[in-house]
Order: sequence, then C-alpha cells, then structure tokens
Amino acid sequence: MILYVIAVGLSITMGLMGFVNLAHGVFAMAGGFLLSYGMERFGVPFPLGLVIAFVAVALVSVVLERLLYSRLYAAGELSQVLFTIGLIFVSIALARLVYGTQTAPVFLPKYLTGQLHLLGRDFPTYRVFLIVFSAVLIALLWFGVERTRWGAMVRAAVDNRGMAQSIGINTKLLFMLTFALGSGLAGLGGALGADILPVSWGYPLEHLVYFLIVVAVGGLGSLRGPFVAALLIGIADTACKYWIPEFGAFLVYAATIGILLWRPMGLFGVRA
Amino acid sequence: MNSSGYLADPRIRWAEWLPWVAALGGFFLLPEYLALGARILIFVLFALSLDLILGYAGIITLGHSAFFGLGAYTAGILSAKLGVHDNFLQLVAAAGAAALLGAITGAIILRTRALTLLMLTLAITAILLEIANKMTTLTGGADGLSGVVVAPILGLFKFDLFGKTAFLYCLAVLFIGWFFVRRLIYSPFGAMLTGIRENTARMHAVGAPVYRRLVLVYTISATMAGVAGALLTQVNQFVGLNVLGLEPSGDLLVMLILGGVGRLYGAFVGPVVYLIAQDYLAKQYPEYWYLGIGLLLIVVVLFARGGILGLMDKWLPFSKPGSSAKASAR
Amino acid sequence: MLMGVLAPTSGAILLGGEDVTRAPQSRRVRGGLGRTFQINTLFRNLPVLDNVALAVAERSGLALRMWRPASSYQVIKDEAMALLATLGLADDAAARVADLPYGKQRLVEIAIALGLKPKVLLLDEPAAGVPSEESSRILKNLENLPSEIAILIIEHDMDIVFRFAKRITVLVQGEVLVEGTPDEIARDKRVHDVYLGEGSHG
Repeated sequence: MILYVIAVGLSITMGLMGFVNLAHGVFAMAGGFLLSYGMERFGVPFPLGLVIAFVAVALVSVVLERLLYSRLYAAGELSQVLFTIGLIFVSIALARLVYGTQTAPVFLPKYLTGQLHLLGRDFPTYRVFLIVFSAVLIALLWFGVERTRWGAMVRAAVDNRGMAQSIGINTKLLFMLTFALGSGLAGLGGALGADILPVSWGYPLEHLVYFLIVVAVGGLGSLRGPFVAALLIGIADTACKYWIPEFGAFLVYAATIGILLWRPMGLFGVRA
Repeated sequence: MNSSGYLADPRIRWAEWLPWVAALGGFFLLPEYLALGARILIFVLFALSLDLILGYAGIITLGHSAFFGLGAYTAGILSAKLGVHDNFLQLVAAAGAAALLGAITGAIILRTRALTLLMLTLAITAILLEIANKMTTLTGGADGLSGVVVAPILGLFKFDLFGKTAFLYCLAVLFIGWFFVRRLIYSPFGAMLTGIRENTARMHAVGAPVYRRLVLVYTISATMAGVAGALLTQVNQFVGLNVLGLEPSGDLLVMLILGGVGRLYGAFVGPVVYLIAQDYLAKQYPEYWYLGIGLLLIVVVLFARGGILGLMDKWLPFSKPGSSAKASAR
Repeated sequence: MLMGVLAPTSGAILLGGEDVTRAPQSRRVRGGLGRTFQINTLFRNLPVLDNVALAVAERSGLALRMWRPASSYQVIKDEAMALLATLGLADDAAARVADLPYGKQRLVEIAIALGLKPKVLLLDEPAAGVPSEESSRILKNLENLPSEIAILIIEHDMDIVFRFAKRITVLVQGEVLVEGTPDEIARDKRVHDVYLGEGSHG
C-alpha cells in the first residue's frame, strides 16, 4: 500500500505532466529520512512529522523543478530518463555520505503498533492504518483532480503549452504545483512506509522497478490505477512468496508484462 | 551532413583507424592494464549494439542487459555444465540464444512505445535476473558460475594469465562487429532506420512496415549484445548475476550518452572514458563515484546532449565531414 | 481513413479492386496508394534527396539491403534526382529540408509521394500554408503530374478545385453532399448555399 502513496505521486508527475521521472524514489527516500531524523533528533510527533515530510519534500522538489526539471519538459524521453538517473546517482551518493549505510530508524507511535482484531482475524494495526489512509488519499485526490479543472488544465498545458498560456493558464505555476504535489506525496509515502520499506541510501534504485511497475500497470495519470495495481502487486507478491517461494518476484514481472501487453496504457490509463 | 543516407561518403576516413591504433598501442605499451582493456572492448561492442537501436532506430530501453546476460550465461553453462569448450561454438550459441530472445521479446513489446516499452524492457531483464538467481543448479545463483573453460582459440592461442590472448581475441571480435555495424549504418537499411527515428509517421506513409523493421534491428542488436556477454564470460571464465538487471543496462546507457548517442564512435568513446574513470576513481573514492557520475550525467543532459563527440564537433573541425547525424539524445 | 490511420465504421475501401479496408498503412502504400500530408511530414533533418530516396527505396524493395552503402545505389539516386528535377528541386538535393522555404518543402512532400509511383495519389490541401508567390510553382507541378495516376485532391480553395478537377465530390460535415463534373457542381444550388451560406466545408 505504501507503493500506492508513492506511486500515485509518480502517476501524477509522469502521467499528468508527461515527464519521465525515474528519480521519484529520491523524494520518497528524502521523506523517510526526514521523518526519522525529525523524530529522533527533535522528538517530533508522528503526525506532525508526516506533514513536515510532505511539505519539506514538496518545497525541495519545487526548487529542483524550477532549476533543473523545467528545462527538460520539451526535451524528449531519453533526456528525461538520463537526467533523472543522474539525479538518482547524485542523491544516493549524498545519502550515503550523510547517513552512511544504516537504515533510518523507525519510530511508530504506540497507538499504531500492535494488532487490530477485525472480522475474526488479527491484522497488524499499521497496515490497516495504511490502507485506510490510502483510501482517504484517493478520495481527496480524486476530488481535487477530477472535480476541479486542475487535471484538465495540466493536461492541456502538457499537450500544447503555448496554447494553454495564451488562454490564460499560468503553466509555470501549474507545473510547479503539480510537481510539488507529486513529489510531496512521494515524501509522505516514504515516511509512512519506512517501517515496511526500510529507508537507506540505496532506496531509490532498489525500489525503482516496483514504483515504475505500479505506475505503468496502474495507468499513467490515473489515481485509482496505481491503487489497484499496488493492491494486486502486494497480494501477488505475498501469495507467491508464500506458496511458491522458488519463484519469488517472477510472477510479479510476468504479470506486469502480461497486463501491459493487454492494456498498454495500464489498467486505468488515461491517455489512450 | 549525415553518416547514413544516400549522400554520405562511405569510405573509411583516416580518423576512423585511430581507435584500433590506440587499442594496439595499449596492447604493447600498457601490458598491466590488459584486463581492463578487454573489459573496455567488450563494453564497446555492447554499446555498439545499444547505439544501433537507441541512436539509430530511436528505441529507448533499459533492458539491454537481458541479451548481454543471456549470452554470458549461455556461454558459461555450455562450458561449465555441458563441457563444450570451443570458443567459437560458445559464441555462436550465445548469439543464437540472444537472437531468439530478441526476436521474441521484440515482436511482443515493440508495438508499444515510450514508458510502456521502457517498463517492459526492464521487466524482461528483471525476470531473467530472477530466473538466474533461482535456478542455482544451472547458473550458480548468487555465487555465480565458475569453472568456465575456453579451449585455445583456433587451437593455437591459449588464454594466458596476463590477458594478452583475451585482449586480442576481444579486439578481433569487436573489429568484426564494428565492420558489420558500419556497413549496416551506411546501407539503405541504415538510412531506413534513420528515417524511422526522424519521422515514424512518414515512414509508414512511404510503405515501410515499421514494426517489422524494428523487430529486425532489435534482433540484430540483441545478437551483438549476446556475443558481448559471451566474451565477458570467456575472458573472466566466470559468470555472475551482475550481468543482468537494471545495473548493466543503466551503466551502458550512461556510457553511450557520455560518448554521444546516434554516432558510431560514441560507442567507442563512452565506454573508454567511463571504464577508465571507474577503474581509477571508484577504487579510490567509492562514495564519490556515484556522485560524480550523477553530476556528469545531469550536466551532459542539460548542456552537452551530444556527449563527448558532440562537444568535439563544436570545437574541433576535423571531426566529421560525415559521421554526425544530428541524432543525439532526443 | 483512406490511408489506414483511422478505422472506418462501415463500408469497404477498394484499391485496384482489392479490399484494403483492414490493411495497415504500409500494405496500402505498396498496393499503390500514395499521399501527401496537409501539414508537412518530412524528414526535416535529412537532405532533400534522402527524403525522396527513402520512398524510392521502399518501393523498389531495396530498403532492407544491409551491405553495400546507400550512396552506391545509383538506381535509387538517379530516380530520386529525376523526380526532384521535374519539380524544380534538383539544385536543392543536398540541402536540409528544414532549411528550405515552406513552398519548397511542400514540393518535397509531393516528390516523396511520387517516388512511390502510386496508382492513386492523395493530395491533402497541397497548397495549404504556401505564400501566394510560391503557390504558382506548386500549381504548375500539379498540372504536370502524369495522367496515368488517379489523383484525389482535398481542397477548399475553389480556384484550385475548378482548375484541376475532372470530377468533384463535395463533403459537408463529413457527409457527401453531391458529386459531379465541375460544370454540374458550379451550377448546383445546394453547393452555393453551403459555401456562401454557413461557410462550412468538409
């Protein structure tokens, strides 16, 4: 489910903005580190820490976007792929220098640990929390994107920036905010998920394939898509590891290929 | 002017002999570095294969290591498990396996584009990595496959401890590969590939079955990558998991961008610079290696998209009356 | 739709008697259908000669040759040059398409289509966007096109339509309004209404 929160941000930046941002995991990692650091050093409470993770990462992403990303909007996929790979390299090197090779320690608040007794089975409280959180997030995002004109504006701006500007859309601001939202969500996801996906210096690369899979399978630009995809992948992965351990992640990849061939735009892909 | 097309001059210019002169020079003058040299040669071959589909046909892939790794493991398994030690047979088998994989996966995935295509290429190499990881009896799993033996080349040249045979062997294979790629690029087929890259819609409208052509070039490229992988196994007499997955593909992409995409010699310059730098810097300052490469990549993308050769084009006049299709990173 | 880019909802498309309703674009082209695009779709970074040569190579079945250099295929080059000459572009053969004025680029579009030796040629607004000084050259070349080729021009410039057409089909909002010889169309009241009335044209 963590994959969802992180991936939906990626779906926004890649899908709505059309920018291939492989470095998305960097923002997630930053969020994770921030939360951990904040709680360890300054005793910041968990909820506040999450908010800070979201906001701080969003702000940093704005800086990056203004300075670097925006130059590449029209540059073509290859340049974007390469640039973001470069960004990944730089950030994992920095992470390694600053944080060393340890993983960021996680401090879950007491009320979220332990087990919840629901429907006759025991579920880890935190996981339930994550699922609920993701669902709420979807609802908020859906409302924000579908119901307002924001989503349409972003797509228009991506399609034809000149035209969009000439009808009064401030494309610079639009892109900036969209990117900030997507990256902030990544930061939030990284922070929330630090328990399940430990945050360490290699994080953006290790999980890159999974983020991309969730987004590609779920469908670019879609909000429900990554949710469903993350669910499917989570289930498939756990089921596989349980029943046919020899196959490991094999099934996930095979399923990805299958789904993408059947629906190249992802399950809920917007751009057909 | 173009390096391909109907107006290009196909004769080999003097500057094109430089890499070979340099290689031979390195052989005689730098005998301690032959192992690194062989590695560079192998990656140049690998980079050539990627340049063919990325620079000339415009297919962006992060999964090229699948063919490299398959070739590597084929050669390794053939030798270590099946007792086939003849180097030529190993190469042929690797080429065949990679070609098969290339044709099949190409046929399946080349109907998609952009991100979906990228994802599929990644997924394929990830699957192969998983398979290699799990089938330990065949591949040695995480420990890798050792015990690869290569019989003396042509019955005469045994692989020596200093890497002399290995180096010259790789050089010979690379030469053959280069020769074929060069012919391909200057041929009508090469012009057609450039056409696909430059304006796919137009190619459809002149009757080119674009999809089939892409599968064809993808297969050719895969075969080359497979041979490169096999060479690596033969030279190291070992295959490990690091020939598969995102990492070699990513590294290769960086190398090619560094050298200059869409240009024949970008595939030469890139790996040379990258691997030499890596050999020196990554050992001294491993944390800074990624930092440096990352920054370099960002700088190249933002300011020097044509890579090193692109920069040379601007500053040095001798570079190319012919070999610069303004194709670079798009 | 005729080129295979959009799928028809009903009916069939026959080329030379062969049903190509579901054939992909490349099949139709090789069956003898050529086209120009309304908005120039050229290989802008390549020289003019290559633009045409690529079409010629496809048609002659030489595009898959991998061994001999392209520049050695004199057959292709000669044919391409000849085509360029008939369109007055011979001197521009080595120039990059992107460097040419728009009018000449339009001519390159036509040259590429001709390189396919089509039996049927679709010209999509051939003079569109061309400044009037240059359009006369285009029109002259249209006049000189070989008469064996069946030419289908999509146009809404009435001068051009009446100058060239032997038969005219008027489409309004995607539907056929009327078909006939130029005289019949010129006298048709419905056409007058459509043109001068709402001003919408297909």
